[in-house]
Amino acid sequence: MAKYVLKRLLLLIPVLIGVTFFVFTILAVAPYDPVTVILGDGATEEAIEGMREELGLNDPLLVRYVNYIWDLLHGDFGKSYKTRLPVADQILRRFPNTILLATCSMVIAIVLGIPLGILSAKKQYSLLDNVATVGGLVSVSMPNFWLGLLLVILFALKLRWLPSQGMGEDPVAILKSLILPSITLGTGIMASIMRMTRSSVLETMRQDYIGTARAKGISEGRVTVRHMLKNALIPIITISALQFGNLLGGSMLTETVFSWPGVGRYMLDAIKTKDTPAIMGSVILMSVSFSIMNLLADILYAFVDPRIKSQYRSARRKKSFKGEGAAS
Amino acid sequence: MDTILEVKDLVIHYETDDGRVYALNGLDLDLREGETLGLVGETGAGKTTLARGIMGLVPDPPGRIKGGEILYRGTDLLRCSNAEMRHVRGKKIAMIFQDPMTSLNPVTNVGVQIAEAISNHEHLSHRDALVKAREMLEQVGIPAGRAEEYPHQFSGGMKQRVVIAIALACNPDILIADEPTTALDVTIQAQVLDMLRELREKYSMSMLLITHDLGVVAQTCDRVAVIYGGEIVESADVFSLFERHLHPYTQGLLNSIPKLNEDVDRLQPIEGMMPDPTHLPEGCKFCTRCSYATERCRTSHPVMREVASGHSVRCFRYEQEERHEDR
Repeated sequence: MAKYVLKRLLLLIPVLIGVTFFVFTILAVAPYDPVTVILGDGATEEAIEGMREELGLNDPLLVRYVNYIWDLLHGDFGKSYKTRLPVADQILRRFPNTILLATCSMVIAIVLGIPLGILSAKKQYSLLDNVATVGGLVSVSMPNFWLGLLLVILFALKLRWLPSQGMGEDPVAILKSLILPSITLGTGIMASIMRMTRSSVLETMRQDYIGTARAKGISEGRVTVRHMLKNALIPIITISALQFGNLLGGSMLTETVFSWPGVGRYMLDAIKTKDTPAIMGSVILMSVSFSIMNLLADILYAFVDPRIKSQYRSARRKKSFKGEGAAS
Repeated sequence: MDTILEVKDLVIHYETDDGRVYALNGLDLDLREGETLGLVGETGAGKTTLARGIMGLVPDPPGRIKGGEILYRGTDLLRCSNAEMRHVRGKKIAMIFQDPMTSLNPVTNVGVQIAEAISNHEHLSHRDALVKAREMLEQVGIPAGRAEEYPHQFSGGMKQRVVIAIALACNPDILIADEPTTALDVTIQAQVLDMLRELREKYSMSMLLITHDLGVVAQTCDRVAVIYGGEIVESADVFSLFERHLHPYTQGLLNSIPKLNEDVDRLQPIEGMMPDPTHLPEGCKFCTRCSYATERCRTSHPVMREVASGHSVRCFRYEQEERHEDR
């Protein structure tokens, strides 16, 4: 298992090289000049040229990329063109806020999505199932920011129950300001978790072992949780982990609508000002968190399904077996 | 011997998009204390529906129990509430399913799967139930040390042993075995059947053994009931049936087995196919395939007649015999 995890972590390296190279190239060939962004339109020719030289923009693309990676390997993510502040500090300062928001959204999505999915599956084609299906489709198709705006209008402007902007200072205020963005982000994810739970449970419901379980005379609740849900978990874990990975990279629109000081908003600002180092930093964070969540899902599979666990194990065994064969 | 389970005029239909499937049409059956009753019939005859009906596990929808009674020691199981049925299932009547490869939960270890039944019915703590589960595993010939293993670590025959251990964990009165050996290869079949026989005696259970294999019946059963088109067409003790098979369907079944003492090039199947269960014939269900069928067979439905002590058959050909005996 540990070996498997290590292997997967090592696989992160080529993924990151690919992602950074791709984004770096796109930013480099994009038709804008970061120098004019930094200095403004009124800058003199010499100032522009000096700045270009200082930023290394006159070097060829590959050289610039290698330099960037070299700095990266030394822990230097560069300085923002716009604010001249170190990107790594800026992102790390915002990341906890994004983690908080992502976690709250996921909790809402999972706590509501899984039970609703089970109920819809168990009462397939009932009124509840139909309402959940339509509701789920609406929530998935609805743009996040639009739902966010509606919530702000209702709960912040009309009812004045909750703040519409920013993140409070003390725990109660933070909690209050978390509610609306978490619901905004959680709704769509809840709907997809619900749909996935429904179809996965529907599949396991028809398995023979459910009959065996019922024939033991155990309660329907136990049959549902211990036998149906436990077997239906794999796709639910997959989708939850992917969504969580997505959220951890920062949700640009929702964080912007609620002025949430997270990495999503930082990235959107960076894109707006064409701030290459800041964009690169955000992209790296995004792909790392996404990959790690993927890995986490794969590890969780092993805890849920002993067959997968034994696969991870047997991969190791096979190797050691081969090794013995070669030695003898 | 007292009757422990009596099925009276049981009618179960499945309402599907393609029409109504007449799975059981007035099925009568009685199982006596301590005996093994073989229920023989081909695929689609309604064997599994009967088993599920007795367990109260007919999937609804599409399954509908239209009428009849299932009396367990005089109590009609069809009138029991869900909670009452939960005390019957596993504790009084247990069931073994057809395919051991799929009837165990793949993500729970086998010890827990057995213990679950025990702690549910015998109000034992989880730990005590696990201890008893290990004993059950030993009973079915699996080392107790394998209790923490998962179904994928067992072979098919071993899995069926685990399924049997689950079924017998609470010492039920009745064991319904739905083709317990169909999915196993022949050597394992014999082992599992022997074990079932031994355990049935040891626990003094009654057993309803559902099968399409007459060899299994001859080896294991005290009495036999032959099911066709959702009703019993012949029932007798195992010796009378093999000696004197009366119903044309039973005759066909026995004739289709190749005999060791004759040199046969071709097997003798029963001609034709099982009738479409959404459109069963009006009269005798077997009339479409029966070489003795008359006009009367096609229009009116024969009843079960006792032609000799304990030997009943559903066929017009034996009306005379019954009268003869009456006189």
